[in-house]
Order: sequence, then C-alpha cells, then structure tokens
Amino acid sequence: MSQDEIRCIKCDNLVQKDLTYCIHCGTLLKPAPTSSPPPNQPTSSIPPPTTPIKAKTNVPYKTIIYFAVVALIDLIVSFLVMNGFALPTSSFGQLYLIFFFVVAFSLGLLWLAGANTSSRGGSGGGYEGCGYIIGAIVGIVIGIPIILVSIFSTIATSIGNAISEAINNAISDAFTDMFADVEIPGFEPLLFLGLFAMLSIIIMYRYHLKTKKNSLSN
Amino acid sequence: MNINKNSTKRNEYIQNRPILQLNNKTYKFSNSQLATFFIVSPILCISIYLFLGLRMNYWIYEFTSTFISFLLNLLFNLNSQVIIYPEQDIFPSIFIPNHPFDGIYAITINCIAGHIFSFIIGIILLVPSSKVGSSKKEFVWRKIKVLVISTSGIFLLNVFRIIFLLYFNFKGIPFEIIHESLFFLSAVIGALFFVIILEHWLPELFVSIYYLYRLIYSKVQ
Repeated sequence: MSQDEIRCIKCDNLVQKDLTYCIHCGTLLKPAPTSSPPPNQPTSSIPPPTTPIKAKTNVPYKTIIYFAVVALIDLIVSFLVMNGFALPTSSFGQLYLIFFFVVAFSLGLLWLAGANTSSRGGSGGGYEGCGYIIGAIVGIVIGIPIILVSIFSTIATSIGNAISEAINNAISDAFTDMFADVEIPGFEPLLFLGLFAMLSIIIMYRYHLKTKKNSLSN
Repeated sequence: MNINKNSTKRNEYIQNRPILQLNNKTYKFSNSQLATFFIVSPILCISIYLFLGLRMNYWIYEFTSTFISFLLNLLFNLNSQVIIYPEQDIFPSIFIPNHPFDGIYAITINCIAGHIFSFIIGIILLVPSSKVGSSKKEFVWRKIKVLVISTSGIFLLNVFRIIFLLYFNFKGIPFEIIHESLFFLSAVIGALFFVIILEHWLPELFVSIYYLYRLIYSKVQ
C-alpha cells in the first residue's frame, strides 16, 4: 500500500487517496465537497461525518395536507350542491356533521397515529391509543349528548324552565334589559371548539408518548 | 416554630410535585394556577362574550362592516354601503344594490366571530406559566405575541369569509348553502391555525392540561 492509497472502510480494497467514493463499492471515503457535485458523480445517502445534524423540526405536514384535502372536498361538495346535486336527505348540515366528526377526523387521527408509530419504530401502540381517543371523541362529542338528550330531554326542559324562571325572578329587570339583545350562539362555535379539542387531544397524546419514552430511557 | 414547620411542609410539597420534561423544557404548575385556569377561564370567556354585546362595543361591528364593505367594493366593485343605526341597539348592516335576493346583511356578534374571539382571549389570558424553566417576562411576551397573531389572523379569515359569502350570494348562490360551506371551511382553517400557533409559542396551554391529567392519574394510583 503506497502513500497515495487508502483502504475502503467497507470493502477493504485499496483505492486512491484523492477519490471521494470507493471505485469498488461506492462507499463515501471522505466528506463531499461543499459545492454541488457534478451530474455524473454518484450520490450517497450517507451524510458527511463533519456535517452537523440539524435538530428535527416537527412540522405537521401530513396534518396540514390532510386539512387541505378536507377543505378541497368541502369546496367540491359545495360546488356540486350549488349545481343541483341533490342529497338523499334535506338535512345537509347533519350529513356534513357526520362526515367531519365521524369519518374524516377518525381517518385523520388514525393516519397521524400511524405516522407517529412508524416514525418511532413502535409496535402499534399508537394505533391502540388512537383507538381510545377516537372512541372517546365519538362517545363524548356525539354519543353521550344524544343519549342524554334522548333520555333526559323532558326532565332537562322542566329543570331549565325552572332555573330560568328562578333567575328571571331573582335578577332585576335592569340586568335583563342590559343583555336582552345578546345573541345566543348557534352551532358555529361548537365546530371550532370541537376541532380545537380534537387537535389538543392529539397534541397531548404526543406529549404523553414523549414523556413515556423519556421515562423508559431513564 | 409552627410557621417554620408549615413552610417546610409547603416547600416539600412543591418540591415533590411532578416535573414534565418536553421538547428540552421543564414544566411545573401549582394547584392554584391550574384551578384558576380551568375554573376562571370559562367564566372569563362568557364575560367577554357578554361584554362584546354591549352597546358601547358596537364600534367593533361598525368598523368590521366598513372594512368588509371597503374590501367588497375594492375587490368586486359591488357599490356596497354600510347602514349604521347610531341611536338604536341595532347591529349595523351592509347593503348591496342590484341584488338578486334581499341585499341587506346584518353584521351581528356571531358574524364577526365574537364567540371565537371570546374563547381565544379568555383562554390565552389565563394560560398558567411554568414555575421552572422560563422567566415571567418571556412568558408574557409570548402571550402577547400569540394574542395579537391569533386574533388578527382569525379576524382577517372571518372578514374574507364574509366577503366571499356576500359575493357568492350576490352571484345567485343560495345564502344557506354558501354560508354553511364557507363557515365549515373557515372553522377548520381557523382551528388549525390557532392550534399550530399555540403549540409553537404557547405550549403551556396543552402542557397544563396534560399536567392536570398526570396529577389526577398519580392521585388515583
């Protein structure tokens, strides 16, 4: 072995010292030059050892793309409806509600959890956890209110009437007049708050996984 | 003697509280902070909503209506006008001439997303700061940043929602359909925008909720 030759770390063959890649196996021999390599030069996926590893930023690209797709679907459906596409039921809002709360977000959560698990090399714990989350969301947001309303609607109405009557009697007319024009919000804020709650649950679940990982590594 | 004993007990109690380590930061909250956040913030949200509905705050609706009318005329040349009732408790309206339907739209508290602003302001103002890991000044600065960016972003999003709503309605699309559609779209974008901003600049909101869960979980166990 002359002074102009070195041994490849992978295939152990002798190669010229000034080469960047091994001519036998293509392994990177020394850090690549900072300027862009010529087009006919082979590229390697191994980063140069002197390059500092950048901190991984957690930009939720998949989530953003997912919501963009949902928005696109929203526009397409609106366009179809505007052009005479008739739904099987007159309650357009209810169908939308079902679509958003049950189908779209369940799929989104599953996708996010799957990506989370696969990026960590986990064994499906994310799917299991996400199943609980979806169950909780569907149960809390849709199931429980429906059951409560259907069972306790009569009782709730009478209690509500009694409370409002008591409040009306207790509070003076001046206070009632002050907020007489207050507009009671309809369904609009609930959608925003529901989405906010779901996204918060996803973030907190990610925190949970991180703390679990930290405690395991400790 | 008794005071010293109590203070020692208190110090021990504070030191024994769990510390969360997330994203190279440490978080620790006291019970009073968590209680304030979870009990007072809903009350504050409702109070802000009621406050926004008072007559003295009608300038907000008038300003928003004028801004919407200006942008409608600028972008689509609709010759819209704002109708303001200075002596009555009636919300301002936007009038669009040559309209296929009614052409008069009242801009109410829900139209300007008053409920969402109440929620955002009430939540952000009472987010607890961590006892360790960050200074008070830096935390307050982050709060102000999130407050300004989120409110202005959602204000603009809502303004453009109303602009497109009025324009499409003017073009002949039924109000209910375009209202529902644009409302769903803006709610999704707004919620996503708010959550991303919060996670980036004010993660204490989510961490404090998770911290409460950990506290309850440890007590139950």
